[in-house]
Order: sequence, then structure tokens, then C-alpha cells
Amino acid sequence: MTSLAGLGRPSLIAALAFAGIAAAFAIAGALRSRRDLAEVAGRAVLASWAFTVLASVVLLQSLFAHDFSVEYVANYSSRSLSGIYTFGAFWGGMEGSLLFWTLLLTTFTVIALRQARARNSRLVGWSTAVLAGISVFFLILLVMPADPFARLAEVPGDGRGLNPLLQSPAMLIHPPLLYTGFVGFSIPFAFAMAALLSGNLGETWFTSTRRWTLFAWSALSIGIVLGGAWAYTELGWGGYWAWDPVENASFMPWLTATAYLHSVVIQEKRRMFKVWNVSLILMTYALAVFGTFLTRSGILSSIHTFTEGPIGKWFLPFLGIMLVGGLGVIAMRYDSLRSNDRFDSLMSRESAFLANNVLFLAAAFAVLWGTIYPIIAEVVTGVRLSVGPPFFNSVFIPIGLALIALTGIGPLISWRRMSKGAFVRIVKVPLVAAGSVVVGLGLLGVDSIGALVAFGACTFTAIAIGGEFVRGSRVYRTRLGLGWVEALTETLRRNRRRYGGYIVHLGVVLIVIGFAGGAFKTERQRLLNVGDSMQIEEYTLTFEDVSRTTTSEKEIFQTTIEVSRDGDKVTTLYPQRNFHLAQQQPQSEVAIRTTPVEDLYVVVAAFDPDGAARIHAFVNPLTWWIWAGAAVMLLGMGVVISGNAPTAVAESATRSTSSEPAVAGVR
Amino acid sequence: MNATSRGSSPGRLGHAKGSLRGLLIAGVLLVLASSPALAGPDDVTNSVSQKIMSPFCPGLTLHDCPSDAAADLREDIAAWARQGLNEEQIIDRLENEFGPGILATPPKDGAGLVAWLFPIAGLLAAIVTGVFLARRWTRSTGATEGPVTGTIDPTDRVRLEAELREIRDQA
Repeated sequence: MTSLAGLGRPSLIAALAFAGIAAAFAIAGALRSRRDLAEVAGRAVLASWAFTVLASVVLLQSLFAHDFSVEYVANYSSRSLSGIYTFGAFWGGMEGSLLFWTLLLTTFTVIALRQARARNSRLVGWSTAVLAGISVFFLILLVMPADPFARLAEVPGDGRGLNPLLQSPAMLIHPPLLYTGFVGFSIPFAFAMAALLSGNLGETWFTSTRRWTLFAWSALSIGIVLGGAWAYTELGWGGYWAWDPVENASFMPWLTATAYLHSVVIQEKRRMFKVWNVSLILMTYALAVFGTFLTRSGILSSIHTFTEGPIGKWFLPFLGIMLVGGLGVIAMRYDSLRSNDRFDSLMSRESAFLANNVLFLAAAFAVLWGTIYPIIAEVVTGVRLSVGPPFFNSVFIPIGLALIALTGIGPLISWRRMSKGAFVRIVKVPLVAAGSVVVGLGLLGVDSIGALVAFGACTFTAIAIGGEFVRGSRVYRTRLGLGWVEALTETLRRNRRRYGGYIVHLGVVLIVIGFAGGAFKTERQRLLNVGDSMQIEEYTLTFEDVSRTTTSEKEIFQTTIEVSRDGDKVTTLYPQRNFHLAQQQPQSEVAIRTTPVEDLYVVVAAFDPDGAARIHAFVNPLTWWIWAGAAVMLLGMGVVISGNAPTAVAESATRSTSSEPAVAGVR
Repeated sequence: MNATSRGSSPGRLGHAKGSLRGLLIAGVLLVLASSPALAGPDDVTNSVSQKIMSPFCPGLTLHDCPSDAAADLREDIAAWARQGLNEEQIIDRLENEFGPGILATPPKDGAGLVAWLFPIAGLLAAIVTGVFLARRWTRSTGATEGPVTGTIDPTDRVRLEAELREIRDQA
């Protein structure tokens, strides 16, 4: 297959040129209120997108053509790599992932601007400028320090191949979803900035990007869960979350975005929190970019490697411009953003939303601080310190449990005000249920305080949410004479946003139940010869056999482990220890027997020279609930996204300070 | 839902408080009755390797690091535990060998203390700010002023109408 790699770099340069034209003309069009300039900007956005698509196609074609004269192709693919993972190599390395990011950004830009032109052209001009400006930055990276089409002087006969750990179905989906989430937030960010720059400070910027926000948040949520699933099934340490800086980089914007999704409801219902909401969306997008900087700059290895990394020094000015510019326009419009509306009472759903936001922001700050503290400590003291899971668990778990409890309390409190007596009465049932569960589990021998609190909080929230469904359905049962199932369907159908949100909350509860199960995790390591057994909890694992096969990619050493309980055979597991030929790298393939009660997780950590296998076995209670909870969350997100956009809340009542007339965007 | 319309009686409230108090006492007794289990070499290895960052996998604890070198170091820790070293002694030995950066948590003194204090200070500041803002944004009179500016969702509307009808019927 002839490689088209020669077209790659010119395509990127053309994409950059058109993005620059789009930004310049969009700014000029917005400042001078010139429709013709805005139309040029719209066409330039389309051209930039087309050339980015072309560059992406060229990179993919180079990967499939095994054009190892391209450094990226030589570093992240090989002749023996299967087709699907050759496709995944597109985002397997830094340069490719940045191109993928840019492809998503330009695609989302074209779609969002086209939608916005139909709905609200007043924001299109400045939105085009912001989105094209972001594209310019990423295209500069691709043209200068992170060129995916850089050539090698000496062309190798074969490539290094993709890291074996990345050769997993979850890894094919996980990075694109994370990038979709990160890039997706650029749309509400751009429209928020456009609202501030243009002075159209009503609710349009968030109502018109509501589905984008939900889409980005959903993609990020699923991406994070899939990352956990990948870690669980591929890394072989029996867990799914390690508070690794790369994980934290995706979690921080998720926390602020979740805060935003809640606080924007207050603006929608009460026209309050306007400054807060634009600040949150700025923070979310800045954290998404900051996370990319953290994981791509090399700064996490050491402060000294930061300037040596190819793209690190490019990110800081971009982040600086984004933050200073964003905060600057918020300050510029501060007086116009202030709300005259007030809370009626501290005991109200508005206060619960505020508490929710405080906790989410505290959680985001704790994660951010723990992630960057080693860098700060090294700069200040010259000594490299570490911040690992024990720190994050100590500071995050209490906040997380408070958030779970608040998830249950929030829906129970009425808008505007609620008497203390009514509050006590309505929380009585969930609280007694939660207390009963805690006491019951304690009597059954559960002695982990953290787990008991988590189970209690989850019970409280699940009962509270269940109660909301029951109360909602009862009304339709009484009024329309429906059965429970029909009434529940009617409740969901008539208010998808609210009840879809509750389904998402139920998913979170299930996930937290799965996390709490981690408190009862057991693990054992033994060196076993064929025929030997080891015990973990009530399971007996017997090393029956090992077989060896060789493929073009790897040597596979597959063990046969018989699992029995009280003398009865339960199952047979086949964990592998493989040796990848291209990378000269060993890798374990985990074997898992999963049930809602517990997972039996078996890894061959190594083989001794005499053939004995070092078996690492785990019993992970309730892990299944994490994946079940994620599925429930996904269902809930689908229900929310399918719901109607919020009714325009008296947009006309919000006086616009804009002098900018409607300008046309992309066609 | 408008729970304020349901009202409450002192008797019910007292009963609820009694139930909650009983649960609280039972919970406290439960905590007091629980006792930690004794740790074997495997448990010591697992516990230590979760408190130590891996010198071989940046960003991961020794426990989570999948490399062969990490597995060897875990074996060394298990051997030290079998020799009778306790967790603290093993961690000290590792810190002496690899430096303070191997500890998964910053020390709770000196520069490390800042790492612990900042999140606590941040949380307290956030709570104080939240309470301050909530009080500032709350009407002093307690009276509802002006029209409701938001929308009422269909379920709330139906429930509200049903409850109002109930009140009218009772009247």
C-alpha cells in the first residue's frame, strides 16, 4: 500500500491557517458587527475541519500502510499488530492523541456552530472566535513540537508496536471517550465566553449548549469508568482506581462539571449563581486542558523534565491566556451578572445545591492539590515527595460520603423553604432504613467504619430516591387510574430530566456500594508448582497445568487453575503470563470469576526459572456493583439527554447589555 | 413535591427522634465492640506496599505496580515480615534505601504538613464561604417576594394540584 504520509503536514498547516483566519474574522465580525466577516469565519472553520479530517485520514492510512518512515507509525505500530489495534494506535501516542483531540474539536465546532446559528445567532460570532482560537493552539502544537508526520532518517524494517497494556478492548474506547468529554466541554465554555464577551448574559448560553454539556459529561463519566475497567482487567493489581495523576487529570474536570450540572439548575429555576456558573465552566475546561498538560508535559516525572518535554512549555501560556482572559471577562461583566433574587430560607433545595457545589469544589481542590503537591514541594524544598492513594482516600472519602448523603437529602427538600419539622418527617424513613442497615451489618460482623458509613449513606440515598419515584407515580396512579408500572413510566416520560437525574444518582449509589466492598478485599500470593494449592477466603486454588503457544505477536503461557470451595468444584480459570515479542515485554492476562457478591481475581505475576508460578489471588467483594452502577448511570444519562431542553426562563426579563447584533456563523 | 404542606406533629417528631437516638447508641456500641484482626506476613506486605510508591512505576504504589521488579520488592517485604520486622520498621528501611519520595503520603511535619493542611483549610474555607453566601443570599424577612421565576415541572404541578384538592376537600 502506498503511503500518503507526505500529505499529512501540509494538511495540518492548511488547517492551522484556516483556523487562524476563522478566529481573526470572527473577532473582527463580532467587534464591527459585520455579517460578511462572520460568514468568512464560518467558511474558514469548515475548511479547517476538512483539512484536519484529511490529516487524520493520512495518519490512519500511514499506520495501515506500515509506513515506518513516519516516526509515529514506527513508535506505536508494527506489522504484527492486529487491524483494530492499528486503528487504536491513532491515539496511542502523544502526537496522534493531539491530532485526535483536534479532530474532535473541529468536528464539534462545526456541529455546534451550525446548531447555534439556527437557535441563537447572537452568540455565534464570539463562540466561533473562541473555538477557532482553541483550534489554533492545538494545530500549532501539531505543526511544531508534536508533529505526527515527523520522518525518521533511517527507516526500520518493523515498528515497536503498541504497548501491550493498551491492547485491550476497553482501551480502544476509553481514550476516545475521555477526549470526547474534554473536548465536549469546549462548547459550553466557548458559549459562556461568548455570552460574556457579547453581553448576552441571559440563560441562552447554557440552555443552547445543555445537550453538549450532558454529552461531554456522559462521555467523560463512561470514559472514567472504562478506564477503571481497563485497569481492573489488564493491570493485574486487583483494583480499578489508583489515584494516578492520569486518572486524577480526568477526574478533576468531572468534579467541577458535575458541580456545574447541578448549579446551573439554580440559574434555570431562580436566575441565581450566574457568576458561579460561568466560573465553573471556565474551571472545568481549564482543568481539562490542565490535565492534558499534566499528563503530556512530563512535569509529573520531575519538575526538571517539564522544560525538556516537547509540549509542556506550550501549554502554560495557553492556560494563562484562558484563565486570565476568562476571569477578565467575568470581572468585566460582574455587575451585570449579579442576581437580585434571594434564597427564601436556608432550609431549601437551593441551599442543598449550594452545599453540593461547595463539596464538589472542595473535592476537586483536594484532588488538584494532591496531584500538584509533589511539583510544588520540589520547587520549594528541592525534595521530591509523593502523594499516593492513602492521602487521596483520607481527604476524598469523607467529602465523597457527604456528597452521597446530600444526593439523598437534596430531592427531599422543597424549593424555596421547608420547615424543620417537615424535613425531619420526610427524612425519617430513609434515615431509619440507613440506621437499620448499619446496625444490621454491624451485628453481622462488618467492622469497617468507613464501609458502614458508606452503606448507611447509600441506603439513605437509595430509599430517598425510591421514595421520590413512589410519590411521583402515586399521583399518576390516583389521577389517571394507572397501574404502578404505567404510572412509573408516565412519571419518567413527563419529566425525563428530573427522574433521569435520579436514575443517574441511583447508579452512583450502586458504584459507591462497589467501592465500599473494597474495604473487605483479601489478597494472597503464593509460589505454586503444578499440583500445588493455595487458599484464599473459602476458595482453594489448584495449579493444574501450564501450556505454551506462540503467535506472531507473543508467547502465551496459559495456566489452568481449578477453583473449589468446600471440596466442590466452582470453576476453572485460565490466567496467562505472556511475552510480547516486538516490545520484549512480559504482561499478565487476568482471569476473573465475577458475581454480584464477589470477584475471584487470579493473576500469574511471574514464572520462576524452575516453572513454578507466582500466583496473586484476590477476593474483591461487590466489585460487580461498580459496573452495574455505571450501566444504570448510562441509562439515566440517556433519559436526561432525551428530555426536553429547559423552558426559556423569561429570557427577555434579563436585560442584555449587548451592542452586538446577530451575526451569521458557519453554514 | 412541597413537603411543607404536610406539616408535622410533636408526637411524631418525638417518635422519630427516639428511633434515631436508638440507632445512634446501637452504632456507637457496635464501633466499640469491633476489634482489629492480627496481621500475618501477607497482610503486612499488602499494607506496606499500599503505603509505598513504586520506584518502578511512576504514580503507582508498589502494590499496584505490575512490573517484575516491583514483584521482587514485594517478595523482599514479605521476607522481612517473616523475619519479624513490623510495618514501621519495613517502611523505615525502604525510606532509607529509596528516599522520602517513596512514601505514598507526605510526612505530617515540615513541608509535608502543608500537603495535609491545605485540603482541610480549603474545605473549611469552602464551607465558611458557602454558609456566608447562603446567609447573605437569604431574605431577612423570610417572606417570599415576587413571582417564582423558574418553571414548575409537570410532575410537581400534578402533585401540587392533588395536594391542594386534598386540602380543599378536607376543608
